[in-house]
Amino acid sequence: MTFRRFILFFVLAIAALAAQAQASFSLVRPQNVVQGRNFALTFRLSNGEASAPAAPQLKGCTLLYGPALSTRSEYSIVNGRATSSTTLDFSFTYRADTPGTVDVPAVSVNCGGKTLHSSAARFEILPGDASTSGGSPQPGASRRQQDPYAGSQPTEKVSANDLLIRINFSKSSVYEQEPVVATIKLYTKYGITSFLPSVQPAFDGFLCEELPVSNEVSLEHYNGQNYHTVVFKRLLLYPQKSGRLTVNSGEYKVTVEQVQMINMGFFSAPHSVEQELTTKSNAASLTVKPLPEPRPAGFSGAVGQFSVSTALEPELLRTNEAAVYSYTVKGTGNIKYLAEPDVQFPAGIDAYTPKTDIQANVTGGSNMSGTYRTDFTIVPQEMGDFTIEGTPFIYFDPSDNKYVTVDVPSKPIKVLRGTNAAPAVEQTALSGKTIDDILYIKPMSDERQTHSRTFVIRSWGYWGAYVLLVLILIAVAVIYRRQIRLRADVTGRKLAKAGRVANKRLREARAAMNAHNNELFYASLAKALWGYLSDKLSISASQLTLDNVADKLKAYGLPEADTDHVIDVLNQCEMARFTPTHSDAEIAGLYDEAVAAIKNIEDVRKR
Amino acid sequence: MKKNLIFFLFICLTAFAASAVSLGTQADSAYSKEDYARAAALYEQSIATDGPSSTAWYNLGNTYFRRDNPGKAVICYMRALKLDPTNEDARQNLEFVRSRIQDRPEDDTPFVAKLHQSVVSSATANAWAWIAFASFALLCGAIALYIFSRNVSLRKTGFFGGIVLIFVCAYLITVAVNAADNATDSNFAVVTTPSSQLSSSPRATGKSGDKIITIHEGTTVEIVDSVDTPDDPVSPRWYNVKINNGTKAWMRASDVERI
Repeated sequence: MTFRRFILFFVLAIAALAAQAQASFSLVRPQNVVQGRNFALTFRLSNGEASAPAAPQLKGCTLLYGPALSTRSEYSIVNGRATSSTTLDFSFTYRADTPGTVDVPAVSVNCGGKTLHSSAARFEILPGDASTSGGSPQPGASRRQQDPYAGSQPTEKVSANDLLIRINFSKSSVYEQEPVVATIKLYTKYGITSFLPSVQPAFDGFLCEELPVSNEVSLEHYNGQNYHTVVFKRLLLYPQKSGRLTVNSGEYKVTVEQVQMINMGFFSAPHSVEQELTTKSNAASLTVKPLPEPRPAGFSGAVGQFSVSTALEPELLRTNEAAVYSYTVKGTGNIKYLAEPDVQFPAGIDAYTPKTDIQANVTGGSNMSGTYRTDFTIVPQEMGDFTIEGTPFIYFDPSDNKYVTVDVPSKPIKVLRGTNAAPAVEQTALSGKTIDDILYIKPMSDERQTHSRTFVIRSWGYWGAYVLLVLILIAVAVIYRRQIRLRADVTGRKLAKAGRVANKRLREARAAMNAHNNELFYASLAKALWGYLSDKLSISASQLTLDNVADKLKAYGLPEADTDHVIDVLNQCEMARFTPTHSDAEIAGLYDEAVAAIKNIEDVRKR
Repeated sequence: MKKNLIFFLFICLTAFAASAVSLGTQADSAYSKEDYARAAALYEQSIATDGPSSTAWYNLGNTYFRRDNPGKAVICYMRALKLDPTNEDARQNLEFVRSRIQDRPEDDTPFVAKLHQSVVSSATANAWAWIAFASFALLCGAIALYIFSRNVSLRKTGFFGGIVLIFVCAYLITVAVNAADNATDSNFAVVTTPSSQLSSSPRATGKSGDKIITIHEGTTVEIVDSVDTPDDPVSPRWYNVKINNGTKAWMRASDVERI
């Protein structure tokens, strides 16, 4: 580090030394002169020694004397550093003989083995003042020499021609927004001690930009008179509207110094007299042409020559991390008055209010150039690939009389996930958002196309199904009802069966009787009676005794006599089975009695 | 020889495949290429040859809307809804197109009627028919429960459920009948001319005072009556139409198209 610093210091020191030793040779810029006057042409050699150059030949001038040498040296110590400089002036005195433009050629001197050249220059020899009424006064200093006693007269009146203020435009016709330079110049033949504007010229319809002025006094020939002139104001104007624009005349309070010679007998002494005057400038006007129609879309009033560049910093975007997209217009023209570019950023990228930075300065004395940079701070909110559409820049080129479009390429960008913690996601209500259009078509293959269309409700079968359902319900209900009734009367069924079974057995007994098979007859009869009673009275086989039967029969509702009769028949059957010899008449009688007993029981419920 | 035959078969098959791209699909692709004139022609042809479908009418309606023909679009959407009242896209687009046309008839249909209509249009006619039948079967079941069950609470359920189901079933049958009517009846018509004049009598409005109102393209009217006017040189048939659910007037049959 220190080594580096050392080198830097060394280099600077050498440069300083070199600058000190650097010899230069130049021409002191000659001023305009009036015909018949003597003037000096001075060449200046700095930091060097050389013999005087040969006097240059000037057209229309006579060399009177030269070279005259004058030397000057300086030595100064600033911050402990000593600098010295020497200046050597070679002056040649000429007389201006004929008016016209004079070219001073480059002159060379030999300085320490090196040949140095001065630059060429040009000045004018102005014709003498045209004779004006009342003996127009000469510019101050020379008049004194010419007419040393003029001052003894009362102070001369300063005529309107002696003091002029003029406003000039650099061009007589411009386009809207095309810059033009206005110069306010003071022409005088007297010395000026003070100068105050009382009414400033108003530049209505223009945007003004003040230019620096040098306050250098020069000699100028105007309207046949020679004047000392000073440019005290220069303005760069941008016309804002078309038509003939006029700058009204300004009013100035000028104090003029006149020299009066006071005659004191043997000698006269100069005495300066001041006089305050009010002078008006001229009113200047300018034709402003409107920009040609039609104006292209997107044109926002830029006039001049421009180029556009865009940049994105940083190139790699991340969500919730700010980046700067800058749109820079560079060129010459109304750069300060450009409109902000309307850059559209894709949805998902938030753009903040852009910041504009204008760097412009006057170039060539009559126009302004620089850069107009607009920085858009953007913060991507969503990841993905986006494109920043390039916004073309359109300007009018007054030198070509046409509009020029500078295309700006679209910039594809890629947004990655940012490391910054995402802020709380703002919920956007979708309820109010609608797309104001019809819905899109549906594919035709979704639905079968058919000419025939049937409606179930118009068919007989459909209503038949209702009827069928009702019929089924009714049928089921009827069948079910009967089932219920039958199931509810199980004993009744048995009773009904009892008679039938008894009859069957009685028939067997009767068959045995007819076959005179007594034993089978009694067995069948007993079986028929007991079976019948068991069924009829719902008595299980184990409970089947005479007493039980008698009780049940009574409970069944059979009269006492009939019950006894049934018991009697049962007893007879039992007895007969063990006393085998019986007559046929007896057997038939018992059979009839059994039949009668069963009939009696059967009749109980019918009563 | 065999190779040739296979080749021939292949050619036939590809030809068949090419022709299998139906008119409707061609129309869809024309629509997606924004060639609406072609799409409209193809949809019309598809409906004429292959038969209509709710989707076909819906797509044709979209096409007409894109061709700045709102009257035709309304007709198509209404036909789409007639075929399939559950076509929500068609309903939405119909609402949208109606919101864009000039006339905005005030809707003073009672709330109950609107509710009933929305119920009717929430399923197809056949679906309603079967729903009604299912409810009737349910009613039979409730009656059976009442008749056959021994459990008292079940019998009660069957009894009261049956009473409720009688009303439900009656309503559902009404809905099914209405749905079938909606799907077949074409009492509605849409104005297809840019504007049409309604008059108080079935003749051209010559005398002042005859004219009642002017209605514009896309407005739906309900046809109540029609009369033939062979003497009328402009329109041989006049409809007595109802607009705004109340105003009745006569208009030329040529100005409207029935749904």
